[in-house]
Amino acid sequence: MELVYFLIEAVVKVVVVFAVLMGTVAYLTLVERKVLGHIQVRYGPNRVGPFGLLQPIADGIKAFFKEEVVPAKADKTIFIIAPMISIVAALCLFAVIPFGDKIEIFGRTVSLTIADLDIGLLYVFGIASLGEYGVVLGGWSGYNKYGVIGALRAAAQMISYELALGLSVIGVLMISGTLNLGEIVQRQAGGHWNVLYQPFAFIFYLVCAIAEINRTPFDMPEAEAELACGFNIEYSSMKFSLFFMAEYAHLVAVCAIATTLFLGGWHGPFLPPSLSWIWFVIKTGVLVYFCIWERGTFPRLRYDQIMKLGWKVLLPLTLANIFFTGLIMVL
Amino acid sequence: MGSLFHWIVFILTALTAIFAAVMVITRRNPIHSALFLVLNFLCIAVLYLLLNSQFIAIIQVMIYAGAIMMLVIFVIMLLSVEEERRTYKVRLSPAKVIGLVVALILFAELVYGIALRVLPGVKGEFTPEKIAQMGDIKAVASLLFTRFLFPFEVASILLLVGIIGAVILSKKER
Amino acid sequence: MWDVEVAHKRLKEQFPDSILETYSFQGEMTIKVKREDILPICKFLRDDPDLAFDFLTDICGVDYPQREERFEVVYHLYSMRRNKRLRIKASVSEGEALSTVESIWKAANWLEREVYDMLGVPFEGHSDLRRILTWEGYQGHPLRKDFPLRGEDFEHYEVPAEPPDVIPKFPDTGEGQRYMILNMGPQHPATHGVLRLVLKLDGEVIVDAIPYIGHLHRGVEKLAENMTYTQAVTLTDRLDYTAGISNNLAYILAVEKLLGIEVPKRAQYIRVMLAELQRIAAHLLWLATHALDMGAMTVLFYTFRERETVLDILEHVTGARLTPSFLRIGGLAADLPDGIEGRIRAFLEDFPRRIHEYETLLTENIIWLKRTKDVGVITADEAINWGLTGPVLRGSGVRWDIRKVFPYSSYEEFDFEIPIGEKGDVYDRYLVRLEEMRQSARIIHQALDRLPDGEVNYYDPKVTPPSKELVAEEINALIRHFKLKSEDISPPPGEVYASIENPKGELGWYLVSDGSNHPYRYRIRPPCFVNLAALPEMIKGHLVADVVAVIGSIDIVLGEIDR
Repeated sequence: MELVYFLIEAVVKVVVVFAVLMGTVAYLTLVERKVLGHIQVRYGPNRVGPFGLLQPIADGIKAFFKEEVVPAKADKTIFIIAPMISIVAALCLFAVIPFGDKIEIFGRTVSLTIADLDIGLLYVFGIASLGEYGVVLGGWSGYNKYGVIGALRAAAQMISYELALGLSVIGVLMISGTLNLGEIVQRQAGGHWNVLYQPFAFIFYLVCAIAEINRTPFDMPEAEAELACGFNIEYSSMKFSLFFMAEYAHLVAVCAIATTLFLGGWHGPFLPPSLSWIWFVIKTGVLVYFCIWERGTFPRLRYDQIMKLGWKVLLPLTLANIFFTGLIMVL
Repeated sequence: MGSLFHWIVFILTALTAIFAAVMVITRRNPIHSALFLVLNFLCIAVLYLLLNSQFIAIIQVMIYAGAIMMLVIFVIMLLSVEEERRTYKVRLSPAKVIGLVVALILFAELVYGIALRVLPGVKGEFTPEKIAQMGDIKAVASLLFTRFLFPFEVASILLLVGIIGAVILSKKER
Repeated sequence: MWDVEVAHKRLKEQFPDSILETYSFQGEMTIKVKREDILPICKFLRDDPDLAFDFLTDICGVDYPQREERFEVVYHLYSMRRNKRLRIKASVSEGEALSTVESIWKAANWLEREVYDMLGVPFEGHSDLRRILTWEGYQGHPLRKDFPLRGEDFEHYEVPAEPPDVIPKFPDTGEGQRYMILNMGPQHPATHGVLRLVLKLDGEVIVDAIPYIGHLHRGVEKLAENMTYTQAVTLTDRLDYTAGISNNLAYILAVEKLLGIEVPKRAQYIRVMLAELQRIAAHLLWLATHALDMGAMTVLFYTFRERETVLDILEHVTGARLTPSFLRIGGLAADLPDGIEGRIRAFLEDFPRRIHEYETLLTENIIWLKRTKDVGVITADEAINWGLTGPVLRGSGVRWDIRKVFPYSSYEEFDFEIPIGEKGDVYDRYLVRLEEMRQSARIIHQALDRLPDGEVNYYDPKVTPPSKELVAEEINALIRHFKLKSEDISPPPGEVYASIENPKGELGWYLVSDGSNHPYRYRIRPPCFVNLAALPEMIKGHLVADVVAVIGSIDIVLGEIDR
């Protein structure tokens, strides 16, 4: 009987997270366009529905009915699989993120996380590194030189920044002494947010994370000005949308992980434990807003400059951060 | 129920792993080979999971399936933008003959080892129960940073030497 | 006072047998020389320290089918040191070749190619003598007088079975597949139109680049030869379509020079004002696209907000936003409308704050600096040798602006600075253009403050039509109006070159009149065309991402390059 309950609980959680996430991703496109519009003294979408609220739905319908174009010389299997890898990996990231405190439903204590893994953080990195295959293979399989250059850039950039990204969170791990995301959040209770103890690590994490998900100013694989969309140049219709959704899901994921690791997760004043997830949403939302904001502000870096930044600046800095964290902990 | 579930998962992953391994050496397109190798690594990660080694499993995914294979694919893409396919013809060369013989001997050894003799194995101090109690990562770390600290450091120096060598080699070309 | 007569004298001493003819028209000296001696003469003109004609403004050809040596190739030279222009001519007959002057001025490379393409005059020793505006395999040379104007006039025309120029020919280095050939454009978001660049890449580093232009070639020069002088004004708007009024101004100044007239002060001031407004609009568009190419998309919307204001003002004055055709030979189409002064002043009031806003986004942004500093560097000497003009030349540190060196339309009465850069990289060009916008605002201010009263049209019954009121009342005015509108003006025979400082550089017109009512030769000296020729030089050794930065910093408009 316990097993049945367990399965029901797991399925319900997966469905809820999936549904909420897809809704978030859809409306994140609208939010991004609205916020950018506001930054850029224009309105953003405002034709479909009140305040353009139906725009994501219209976009979805449009993407669905667009013609699917597969280039004649493309590697068709990989061409089709690539966007799937991207979106699946992006969604899988949310399996280990603790959204809120434990709540009681029908007499059962339910923790607001799909899978409470001991190696939660490593799982995140593992899945993230697999997700990059989507971008790399998508760029390669279309039989387009711009795509290949985009794919090469993506591969190089991700390998480089994964290192710095991994190193940037080690300070947090040293303080917390665990890889379990739920426990990391627990240790930040009472306002002891990790960002207070690891401010530099937080900045490094944000920079690396933005680079890892290929957003401006690190959007090398796409770089619409020089590569004319890079890795997704040959994609159309729903396959393109999948890449697009994966990108936004990734954005939410890295912000959610940043919230978990640095900003105390779902901890926050005023709200009862059953509503603690609201704090999580607020914090993640602020970080997402930051990502949109910086997109409206910065030009794009150049490929070699990004690599230099990753290897020659961020890597030594994160290592130094680990070193000093260790030093302080020992003393 | 646990063991049955384990068995089903094991059989499925093992078969997938073998299938992927065969595909790696039979595909003509190097990228496809590399991707099947990724699949193979993922299957092996699942096998690690079945052995209660979450940490090793995830490291397998991160390092091998994620980073190393990404580098391999990166290099393949660099080399053959125009999708270089392997040639169809199979020609017998001394290298191939030797390779075949060695492979057969190894295979025979495997069969002998698994089927004809019972391998006793050495029971270590970290039983699954103990690992479950103290935590997977702690178990690895406590061994790695105490008893095997010296080999660990030697291995890292070896890697460093490798990196420096690679840099020098690639610089010479210019 | 040093006069260009000295150059003539020196040439005569040096090459007594080569000078065939010398004449002056409207203060411009033309020296006709023997075809064989064009190279030594040009070399002498450049290398002689007293003459120092270090700048090749233009090369063009004129076709005279009735003559035995039917083609006349015209070289417009300019001496930075002496601030004088000189026109050298050489005649060749069909099939005869001229020796190239590419070794003296690199600018000659593309200009000679154009002459070859348009007239079929080959150049001996040219490094890359291919067609440039039409495609390889095109039949005939459009600017020959016997080339038909319309499609139905062709007796027989064969369309090539294969699309031309598909496979670029890079010099074979024998390294096989080491390099990647990347085709950029003509459909590419960052090539600013239909420019096609074929890049030879080593990884992402550019080893070589070949620009292909002409996708937008409309034969403007040919069309204009079959229009009257006034009709041809409308063709000018569509050249550099970001700066219609500047184009109008350059052409009309050339016609007025041909006629030998000077328009009233009020008209001159209004022209200056409009041209400077247009310069601001063009520079804003440049900044928008340039920043967008580098990923800074917010700048685009900011600058378009101001550009909208400028275009509204221009629309208020001229009635059109993109293609005003507002200037007339001898003046303007109309005087300023009521209430425009307030609008312009309000804009000028607001504008410095706006430029500051763009600067907060870019000028000290570390990413912007990293992307633009030391990218696309061209030194001052190189820039002069390539014939670069406008902000690209000034970015390299050459304080040269036609508004100062050959003031036209009363620019000498305005107080403004010419900003220059130091290194000649993308960043310097960016700073130069930003400062130019500020200076333009200054000029507009002065023009508004000191706007003289009076007519806006030169009074000459043969040039300007009578006013509408007069036409409605008097029969002879009506006849005069009708005659002028149907026959148009007929300037005296002769040839002139007049140029202005267009937002992109030196935009000039070389007009040859045979005394009829349409120009015998309507040659446009295109700034972007000449500036673009130096692009491969600037991007070699840089990365793909730098290509878009450099293209943006040259600020090209394909409408004018392809003509």
